[in-house]
Amino acid sequence: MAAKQIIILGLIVCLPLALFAWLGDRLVRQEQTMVRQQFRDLLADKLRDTDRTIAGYFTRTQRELLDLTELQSLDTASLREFVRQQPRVSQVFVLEKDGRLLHPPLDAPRNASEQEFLHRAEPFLVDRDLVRLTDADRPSASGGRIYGNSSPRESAAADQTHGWYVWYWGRGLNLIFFRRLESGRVIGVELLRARWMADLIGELPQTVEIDQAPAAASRIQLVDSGANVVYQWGTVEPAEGAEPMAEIPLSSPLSSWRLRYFVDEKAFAAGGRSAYFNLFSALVVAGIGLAGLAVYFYRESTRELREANTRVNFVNQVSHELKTPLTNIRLYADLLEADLLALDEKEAAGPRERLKVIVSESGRLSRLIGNVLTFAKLQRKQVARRVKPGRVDETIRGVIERFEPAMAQTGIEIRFQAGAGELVELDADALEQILVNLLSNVEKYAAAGQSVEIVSSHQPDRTIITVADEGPGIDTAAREKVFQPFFRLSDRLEDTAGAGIGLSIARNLARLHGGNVRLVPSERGAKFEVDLHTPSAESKATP
Amino acid sequence: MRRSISASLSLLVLAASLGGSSAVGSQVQLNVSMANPTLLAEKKQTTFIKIGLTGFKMKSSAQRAPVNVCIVLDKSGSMSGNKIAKAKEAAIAAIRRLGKRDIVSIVVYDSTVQVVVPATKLTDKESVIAKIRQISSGGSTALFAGVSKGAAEIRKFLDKNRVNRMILLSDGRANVGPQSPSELGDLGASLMKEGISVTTMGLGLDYNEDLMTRLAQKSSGNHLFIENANDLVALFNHEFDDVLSVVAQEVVIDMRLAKGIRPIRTMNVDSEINGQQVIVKLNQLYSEQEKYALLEIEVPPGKVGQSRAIAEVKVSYANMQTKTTDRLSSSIRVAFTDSKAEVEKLANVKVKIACVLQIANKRNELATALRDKGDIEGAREVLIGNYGYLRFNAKLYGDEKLLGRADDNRWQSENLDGKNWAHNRKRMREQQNADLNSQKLYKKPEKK
Repeated sequence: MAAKQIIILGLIVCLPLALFAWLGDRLVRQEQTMVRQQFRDLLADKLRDTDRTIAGYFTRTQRELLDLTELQSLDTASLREFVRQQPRVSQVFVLEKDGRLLHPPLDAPRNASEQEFLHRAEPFLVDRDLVRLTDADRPSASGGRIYGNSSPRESAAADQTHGWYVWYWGRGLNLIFFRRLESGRVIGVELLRARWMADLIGELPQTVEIDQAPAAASRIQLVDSGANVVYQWGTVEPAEGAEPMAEIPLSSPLSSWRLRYFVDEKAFAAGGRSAYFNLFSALVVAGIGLAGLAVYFYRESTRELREANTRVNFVNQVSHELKTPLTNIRLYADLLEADLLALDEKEAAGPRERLKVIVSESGRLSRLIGNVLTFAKLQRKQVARRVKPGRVDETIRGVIERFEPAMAQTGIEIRFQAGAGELVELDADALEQILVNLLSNVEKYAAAGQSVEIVSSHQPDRTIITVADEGPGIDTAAREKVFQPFFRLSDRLEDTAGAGIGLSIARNLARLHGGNVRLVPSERGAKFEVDLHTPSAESKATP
Repeated sequence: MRRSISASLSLLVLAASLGGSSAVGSQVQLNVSMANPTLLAEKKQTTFIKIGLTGFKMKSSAQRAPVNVCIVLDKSGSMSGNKIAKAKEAAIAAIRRLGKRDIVSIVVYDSTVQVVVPATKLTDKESVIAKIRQISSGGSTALFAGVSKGAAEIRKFLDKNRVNRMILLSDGRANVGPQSPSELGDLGASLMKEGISVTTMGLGLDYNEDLMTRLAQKSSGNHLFIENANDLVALFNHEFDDVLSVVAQEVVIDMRLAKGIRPIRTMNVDSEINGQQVIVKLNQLYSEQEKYALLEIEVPPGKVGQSRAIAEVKVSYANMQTKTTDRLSSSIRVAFTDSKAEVEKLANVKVKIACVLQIANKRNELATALRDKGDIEGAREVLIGNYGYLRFNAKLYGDEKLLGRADDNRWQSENLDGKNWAHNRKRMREQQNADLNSQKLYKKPEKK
């Protein structure tokens, strides 16, 4: 019973706690997602600042290139001098209005660098992408892309006087600055890839180790179209395959490149941990509260039991005190009975009747006291088994004999059908107490039936005794409950004549001896079946 | 008669200063000469022109040109321990040699870059040294980024009157950012246009010598293979001897070949060949050291006794002593004879030696390429052939340097596989670059 109660009380504590925990976890997660998102937005903003730095570099470069391409003459010698002088320039070319190549010269000796340029630039020079600047909607066949800056209307690229031409070759993205001259010619400047990468690196921040709070630690990476790191800064070393906290593409012309922001995941997770710590503390407080409540309910629900226990304890002690005087009373009643036998029949008839009542009632009283003491012992698990060879029927007869006067008085007829005469290993005291309790109940509650039938039968190793009355019987709902201590079918005062521990004692004693007491279905009244483990004593006695 | 004509035609044409007032002693010496000033007649043939430039003697170290130097140190994990300690020691020793007019910056890199000392006039040496002392190692190798940041620092005080030099020390392979020899070479070429040279120092056996030599070569810098970190101080000092003895920079050789003379290639330096025009740029000339460009040309058949103009050479350079842009010019002619003996007799030994050195160098590069393909036997054959070629010519011209190279080639031929290869390959690359660049390699005094 107690175990069941503990489970229920445990559930009362755990279920709400689990619910709180689940809700709390969801809340924390939601909060974290939100914070993470805000954080991501913040980092993306930072990356956009960096992107502006990079875009600024290209704007500046473009401006400088505009100045630089204000060439006095477009003859081969000046253009070569231009390439020789400009550190950022890899090669330069000039297209005639009709797309014809003016420089590098096709009809004069070219140097190795120009030769290489013609070789690698052939796709877009042949395709005349740059000549068809007007056709911005049409994708270029050579895979290049044009970014015009001067025109407010992207589609009307005819107005474009200068811009970037992006083209993938060799190790990746290459940049060509183009400019449409007033003459209609187009001058193109191929930038040295390694150089503008180095310049960007020069523009971007370095890693600063000193005076940096761990929370501010980060790693920003500039990655190219192939996701290779071109440059990075910051003290955080992201793990292999780690996802960046924020990532943005660069503005044109490097729009296939990306910026990535990594933060120290551990430092970030620490924030999440504190949220979980708060949740955990809240759960602990709620758990303590719920547990207190559960303990309160538990104490309330067991108060009755405890009170009854106190009662039993009290009665137990009192019973001990009563035992000695009662024994004396019975002893002297017996002596008195012997004395009365010596007296005149007529004179003694009255006192003998009264004495009979005294003897019978003191017997009842001593059974009651015995019950209480046994119950207390059972509760403390102090009952010892005293098994001796004996016959079940003899014990039954002894008990019937003792009950006969009282039963006769209430008009109950005891019928006994003996069937267990074998010599068996038996705790006669326990069996006696079981039967006394069953018969007491018949006497108390089933007197109206006016009959009780006891049947004993022997089976190998077992003895079955049934005690059936014809009284009011017991409701099916109460079939098991009657075996619980202090349970009574009716709490009406006039109905009570006991503490409600008899059946509990009977069952516990029977179980102690490898058996049981059950209420078995019967047509009328109540029918109890006592099942005892009784191994044969003969086989043991005659080895 | 014929001889006297040839001799007079093959005379070195005196360098003429257009600077005007500057004294002769503080002029770079231009020396244009042909391997064979007299050629066999009636025959189309190829020959070599050597354009030699020798730096004048710096009067005193007090008069040296101020430098703008950036030391870029690899502090990746592999540098930890003795390497980084020695590198710091070497950098500190170098800083101590500089003066208040000089500009210094220190950049370190691992996975990322830190500018430890931004470009600044060296007025407070001790604070710079203190910052160098704080450098500690750990991380990957973002070499490209280190060079980029270093270049940005130098650019802050870019000045034609200063020696602009980056000194890059690395012991490992670049693994963050651009990392191919061609990309680093492109960056080097771009820096060269600004007058910034990069000297690359490879420490130990794990760096990428192709990348490091390419960067040095394209920016007209030196390359050094440093096997032992304990030599770092000495090698930094050796490098600074060069840096502190620059007498001229931004040297441009502009050569016009006469009609009919076909330029084939320059043997040792990058050049731009636009038809008859050949342009060669050298970044820096050191005191009393010669740098040269060796050009291979094709000369059409000539008639006996005929003399033919070969080329006009113009040189411009920034004189670091006078802070002026000086110009030199020269021209060269060739004579024709029918006597083989005379051709030999009149041959210019110095040019011949340079030719042998550069031809052997090209073959040495070929041996490296063969070995890279796994053709050890082929590489060995080339090197042994080179040994014979160098030895023969060393004896013919009585030249110690060629003899030394012959021995180098033989040693290399014996170390093409096994554990010595990594070391050997780095030595080969160092040697190849030094010969192209007329760089004096540091020789440990106690060796031999």
